[in-house]
Amino acid sequence: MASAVPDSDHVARYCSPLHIDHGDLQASAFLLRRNKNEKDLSVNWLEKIHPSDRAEQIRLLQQTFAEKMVRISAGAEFAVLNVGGLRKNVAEGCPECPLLEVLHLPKQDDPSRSGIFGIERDDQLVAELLLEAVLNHYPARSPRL
Amino acid sequence: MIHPKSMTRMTRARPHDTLLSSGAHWGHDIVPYEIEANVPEASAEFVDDVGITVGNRQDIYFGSAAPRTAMTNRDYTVVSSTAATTSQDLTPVFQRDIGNESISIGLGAFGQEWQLLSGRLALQIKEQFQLPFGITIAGGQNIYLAGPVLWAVIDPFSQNVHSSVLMLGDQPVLSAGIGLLQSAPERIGGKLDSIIQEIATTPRIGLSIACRLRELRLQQTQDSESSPVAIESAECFLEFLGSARGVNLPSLTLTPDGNIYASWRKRDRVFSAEFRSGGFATYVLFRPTPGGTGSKLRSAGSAPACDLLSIPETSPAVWAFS
Repeated sequence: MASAVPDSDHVARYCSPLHIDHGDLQASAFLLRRNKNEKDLSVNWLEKIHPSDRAEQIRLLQQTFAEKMVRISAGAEFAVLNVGGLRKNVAEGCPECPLLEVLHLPKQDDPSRSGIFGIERDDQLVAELLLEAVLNHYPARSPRL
Repeated sequence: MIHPKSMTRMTRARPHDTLLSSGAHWGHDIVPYEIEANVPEASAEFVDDVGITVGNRQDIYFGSAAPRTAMTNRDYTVVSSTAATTSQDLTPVFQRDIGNESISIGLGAFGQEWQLLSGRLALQIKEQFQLPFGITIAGGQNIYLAGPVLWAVIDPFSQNVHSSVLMLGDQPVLSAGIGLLQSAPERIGGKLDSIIQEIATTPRIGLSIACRLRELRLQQTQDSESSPVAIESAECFLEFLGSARGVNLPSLTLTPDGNIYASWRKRDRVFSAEFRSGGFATYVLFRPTPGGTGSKLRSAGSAPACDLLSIPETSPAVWAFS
């Protein structure tokens, strides 16, 4: 059974350049793929990667994505959110929406992989509320040496 | 108008900082060279819009287009990194006063599809000016920076743009604008392109939107997790633009399903719309409470695209208009 990511911890969402305009991340980055009947929004649990060092978390996450993805587009970013913060923002902004859950769903090539569950209706409103909860963003590509 | 070769001036090149260092897959950095153009004195204070091309032999070409406010003819300076060292001449070919209402990027001289991306790069010229560039990527992964094209796209007030073509022999190196080439390139086909062409005619913001949609279309081809731009969504968006005259330029992105997502933001206000099939759009509206308590009102709904900004529920989004 999947375990819940603590509210005190953080998750990162991979955002393609398709969701970024003029350097600004848009809520489309937090929409589910409806045509694939996606049930959860894929994120990565940062404290699972490293307990506290954000720079190290991002560096290792960049490495994970570089290994598991065919290509990481230039301009792709990781958006970082606090689990408790995103749950609270969605609950307050959409009282009729189910309370979101963030569950750890590790994969062999992605041990920190997790998912945000509960986005069933009003997904566009939830997406905008998740965007509001973004704390920071980082390049998804490792810098070239 | 074809200028004789004698009008071509070669300048001494002096390297500056690297212009491109990431995102280019052809493995070369472009080193911009300082150029000089013969500018009539009256318009000397206007900055040239410089186009840079990288030919398929990795030569670098610079050409200056006439500034938008200059009404006089001007000479045109072309220099290439190879020509500068080998004393070759390049023959510039002009086309003036190309209407920018329908800038298109068709099939280039190499038979590959061209795409226009909005540029974020700037070239320092003589440490005084920064010029934005449009970027095109041809199918052969050559990267072409086109100043005049971006100029046309981002300048809604200029009805004309001076574009230019660089010729090597009888083969054009860079093309921009309708009817620019003597052997006009085939236009990119497909319904989506037709819709984007029509969107480009929207007053004030159409060209910027068309540019952005082309950029998204190209980016999507490099993103295996996403769906192509949905034609029905583009049609829906076009319908919206037709009914929302005067709306400001939104941020445009694509949803994972390929729908166009438009967002207008102003301080603590947000109006976002996803344009879906069947002529409907879903929207989200955030605005501060009238009492100024610091909290927000949040609403969501759906409406026909042609009514999206005229129903009572979205009337608070009046700030999305200029």
